[in-house]
Amino acid sequence: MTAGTIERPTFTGNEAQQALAQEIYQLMAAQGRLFAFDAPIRQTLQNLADFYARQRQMDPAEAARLIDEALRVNDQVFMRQEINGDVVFITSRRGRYVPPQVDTLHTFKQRLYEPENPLPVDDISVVVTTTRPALTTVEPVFISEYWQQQAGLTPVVVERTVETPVEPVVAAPVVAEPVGVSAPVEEEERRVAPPAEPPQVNTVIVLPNGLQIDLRRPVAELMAQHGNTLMSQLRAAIENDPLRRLVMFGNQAFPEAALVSFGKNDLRRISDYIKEVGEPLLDTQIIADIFYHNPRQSDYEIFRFALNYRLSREKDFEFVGIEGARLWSVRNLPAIGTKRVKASEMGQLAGYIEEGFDDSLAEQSVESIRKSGQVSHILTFFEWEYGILPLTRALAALLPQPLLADQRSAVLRFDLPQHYLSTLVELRYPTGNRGGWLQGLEALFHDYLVPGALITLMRTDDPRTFAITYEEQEETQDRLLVLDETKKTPKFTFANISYACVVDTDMLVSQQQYGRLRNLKAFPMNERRKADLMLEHVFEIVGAPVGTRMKPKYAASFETLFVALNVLRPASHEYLTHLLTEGDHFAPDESRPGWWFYTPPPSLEEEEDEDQDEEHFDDEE
Amino acid sequence: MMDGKNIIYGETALDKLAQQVRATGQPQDIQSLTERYLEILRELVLAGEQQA
Repeated sequence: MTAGTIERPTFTGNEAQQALAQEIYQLMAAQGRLFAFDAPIRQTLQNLADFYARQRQMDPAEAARLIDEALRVNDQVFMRQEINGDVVFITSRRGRYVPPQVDTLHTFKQRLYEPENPLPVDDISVVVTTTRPALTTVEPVFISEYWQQQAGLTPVVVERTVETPVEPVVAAPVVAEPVGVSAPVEEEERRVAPPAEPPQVNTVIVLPNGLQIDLRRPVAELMAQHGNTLMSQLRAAIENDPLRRLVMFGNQAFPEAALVSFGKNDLRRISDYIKEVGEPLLDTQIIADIFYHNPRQSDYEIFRFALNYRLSREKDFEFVGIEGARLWSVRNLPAIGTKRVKASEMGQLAGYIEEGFDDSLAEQSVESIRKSGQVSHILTFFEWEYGILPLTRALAALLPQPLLADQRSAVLRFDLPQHYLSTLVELRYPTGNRGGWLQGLEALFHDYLVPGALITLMRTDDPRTFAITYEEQEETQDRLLVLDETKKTPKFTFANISYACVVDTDMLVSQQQYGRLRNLKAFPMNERRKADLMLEHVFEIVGAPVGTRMKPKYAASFETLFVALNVLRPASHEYLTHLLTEGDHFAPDESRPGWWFYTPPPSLEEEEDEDQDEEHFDDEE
Repeated sequence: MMDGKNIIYGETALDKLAQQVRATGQPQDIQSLTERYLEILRELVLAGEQQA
């Protein structure tokens, strides 16, 4: 309804009554100015009289009488009601009040049930819509307890009701006999009303790996018994949590939402700083030098955690630290160690360790290494030449484990305290069937040691620093094997080398002992991974020919083969034994323990002959 | 209050664990984290048992 339809009420009575009625109407209309047009506007006579008497300075009772008379005369505008003894006048903005009439002629209820015999519903589409809702709702699917238990999602609850009925039957004769008649009554009572047990709440939880844990047991007890499983399962759950409520770095966790964020600019500054220094940096150094964060600040550890976590998620940064020394490296940082052996090649060369042919613990147990914190080792030619030490079980017991699950390498510092030298060494961890190794010891080995030197690697107080020591002796000069790479084709030769370290004379690759090794072919690294072929070549070089020209055969001692094979590639005694016993063309010399024969296959013989007299055989072919 | 069979290890009450770790103001190592978590789960289950 619009303002144009407003009815102007007309008032009756004498002049004074009309004026009073109009004034009260305007007053009540003002009171209900925000009401609906038909909405009742109520006011008591008492209120109206008080207002009127105060305004006119007259007696309220007189005012009430005048108002009552004036409004009674205008009953077409004001409806008069008496509620609990109070007189109430009702009007509306329309100028009169008409109580609303509820129309019950056509109700939904009637439409459902009338007529009494409704028409049949022929088409279900009349009452059920066939259109799909715009948004599909995912309803919860009930999975029965049986299948939840089968899937290991819920523990199998052991029924405990078996114990209850057995008890009264056993106890009944003992109690019943002396009491006589009253005994059966008691028994009856006990059967009727068994002891009220509180309903059992299942306190057993099942871990994703199926392990059942009873949470009623103390936490310390649970941790002592299942600590590793509980920790690994929680770690896995945290790492797989899509909401990332907690995030982990190494063995530490913190809510991601509470971590400081690092922008691109921060990351660039960190990267530039590491490149400027030229070697991996500790997280503490980055924080101090770039962010000027003080360890005494209360949020220092959170800031440190945030930095490590954030860098671990960046592709350009690589974690090369260990527990206690969190080091970060970046791409394009100068490589540590030799470039002559690629990582992929070295991983394959050291693969024999992962295959189980590692005898490094034959003389030292893991416990003794961990307790003493040192490992002794005799350098082979390959190790000396390339500054590489395969990561044997013995070395692995000494060196730190990776902190992160996907960590590829760690950068350590190796000191040579006898010469006050220090060098960075990269520890490459084994992956799959590829072995691990240490690289970066080339200069240190070449300057002070020779193949056959007995070295000792030991821990220091700093978790990332290790020391290499050797026993000194008077300086000696000898002609030792070296790899001459000055020419286009690298070749082995002997050169005068002075050394002042104690050596294992059997392992010292001197010209006097192993003069034939100059004939070894310096195979490319990718070929040296074929250990069986390398052994055959080594056998032909160092072995004593015991066959004929048509049927060549070589004999060599195990130790000679070990030294010679370790010129071309790393190998353990156990691995060499495996190669000799599994090889088709090797046979032990029954008359001399520790000696082996090698009979080259015919095809190899022809190829050799081709090499020796190429033209002659070419003509024949 | 919770029955043991309704607890999913590593998911149930992880929010509460995160809140507790945050309240400590220090990153927590996995061992102390696991112990805290077991305490939380234990409280949940034993509270349920007491109520029952």
